Amino acid sequence: MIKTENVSFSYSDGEQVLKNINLAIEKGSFAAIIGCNGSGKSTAAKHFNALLLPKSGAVYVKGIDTRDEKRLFEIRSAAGMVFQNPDNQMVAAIVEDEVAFAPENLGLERNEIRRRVDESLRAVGMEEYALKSSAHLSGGQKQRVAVAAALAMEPECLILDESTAMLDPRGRAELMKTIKKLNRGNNLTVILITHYMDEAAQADRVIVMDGGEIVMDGTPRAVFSDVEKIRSLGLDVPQAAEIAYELGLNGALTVDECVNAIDGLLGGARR
Amino acid sequence: MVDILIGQYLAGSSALHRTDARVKIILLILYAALLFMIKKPLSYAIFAAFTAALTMTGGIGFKTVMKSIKPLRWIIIFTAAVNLFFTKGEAFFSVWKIAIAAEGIDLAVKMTVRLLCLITASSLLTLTTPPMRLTDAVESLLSPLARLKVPVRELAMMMSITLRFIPVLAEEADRIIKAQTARGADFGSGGIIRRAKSLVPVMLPLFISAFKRAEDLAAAMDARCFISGAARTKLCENRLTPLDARAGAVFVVFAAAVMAAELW
Ligand SMILES: Nc1ncnc2c1ncn2[C@@H]1O[C@H](COP(=O)(O)OP(=O)(O)OP(=O)(O)O)[C@@H](O)[C@H]1O
Ligand SMILES: [Mg+2]
Repeated sequence: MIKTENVSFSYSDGEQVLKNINLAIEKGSFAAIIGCNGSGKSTAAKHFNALLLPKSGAVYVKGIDTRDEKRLFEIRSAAGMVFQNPDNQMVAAIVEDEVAFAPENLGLERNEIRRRVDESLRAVGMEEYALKSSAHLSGGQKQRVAVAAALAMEPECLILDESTAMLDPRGRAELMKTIKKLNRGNNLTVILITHYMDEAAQADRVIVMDGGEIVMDGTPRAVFSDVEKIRSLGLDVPQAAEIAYELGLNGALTVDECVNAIDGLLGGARR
Repeated sequence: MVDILIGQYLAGSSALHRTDARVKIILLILYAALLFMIKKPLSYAIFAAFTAALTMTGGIGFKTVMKSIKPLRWIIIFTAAVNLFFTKGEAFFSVWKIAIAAEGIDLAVKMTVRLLCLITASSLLTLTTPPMRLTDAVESLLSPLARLKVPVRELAMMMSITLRFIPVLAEEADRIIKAQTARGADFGSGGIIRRAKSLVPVMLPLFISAFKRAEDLAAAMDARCFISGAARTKLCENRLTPLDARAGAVFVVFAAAVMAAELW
């Protein structure tokens, strides 16, 4: 779906922000990218939909080189993006107009725009709010509208750059549920950039970035079991994994697994 | 929430809501033109009654109307006062050294009614028209200018984004003022210069955040295939319906009544 080959990038100040990134994201997968502030996550994400072009190397979206200006619409509509601040990414005051923005830009016919708006809003469970003013929605609802606005391009991949960062726990849970549903149900490829390790643990694959490089890449279980390495990168492991680690029970990732492991330990002691 | 009503839309399905935005804009302009030509008290009465009737048709409450008038109250009071005290004429009565002319009272009352009618009518436009329809209407009305290379589409886009961000920035200004007040800033007292100076610590962060927002918004628009100058399609086109003809007819009857009152 998305492939990068030896991608390096620097902003105008010259410092290398991405160093030789090689990455392939499979269609239908759910990948999380984690890393401390300034590690280059957002910069990498902006390469996935041609908001930025590599200084050297190449990025392919659905096999299209992102430097191919003539196919910019194809690239951008294949890889939809949702940003961090729900207020700053909304163009329109009414939910429906917001979702219609991308298909309008693509120059689609009115009936087609209508269909995409309705379908996208339904996919995120916001169809009742179509005619509401977005100013009156909760943070979680606003971000779901932002997801719908990206879905209206009928993308194959959805990139979320810290989209849960400004939400309260309930809004975060809402958004995560929506994303997972889209990934499982609609076979949408998801790339989730996050600072919340419990969110990253829900992905199929965790990619850890540091100083513009990919330093770890694997299943959440594999990545988060190397607690020392994760900590040395200035990151945390999910709480359940941390408790298990401190108790010397490696390998637990979810709360349930952690409970079972502790139970096993206590049972063993009792016996 | 900050009480700012500019560009705020109240969803509804009244006849006023359903009238085409372009028709509403044109009628509002004619309404304003007529309002500044009339002289007779009866015409003013007709205007006030018509405006009140429109407000009720749109299902807009008295409180909402007051909210849009409130930010402009000083302008109204100032205008009334200027007319009251500085109109020359036969002294109607005088208190101490200030003489008030009958003409002054007349003018002050008329000016006040005028402003109230105008503010109410224009806020009815934004209250009953979704912002997108409004900017589409402006774009459509200005489209002849596109031939003169005026970037009409971009202007309309700017207008819609402005409308969208007014409440966001107002809320932010409110938050900054509260934060500065909590740190001991004083916005409410002192002369004009001091007050203006005390606004600098509010405007500065507001500007910085507005730039940050603009940058974010630009990325979000790029990511959704926006290209400045490219042809776009629309989800909802403004379309004329029989209702618009009726709206026009109602306005003609109203204008005729005002003319009759003037000539009578
Ligand atoms: N527009 C820009 N111009 C110049 N330098 C930039 C720009 N954006 C980011 N950088 C720099 O590039 C580096 C990587 O930034 P990036 O935003 O990709 O990090 P990130 O991993 O997304 O961090 P965060 O977790 O804070 O979002 C940082 O050192 C940052 O200062
Ligand atoms: Mg970032």
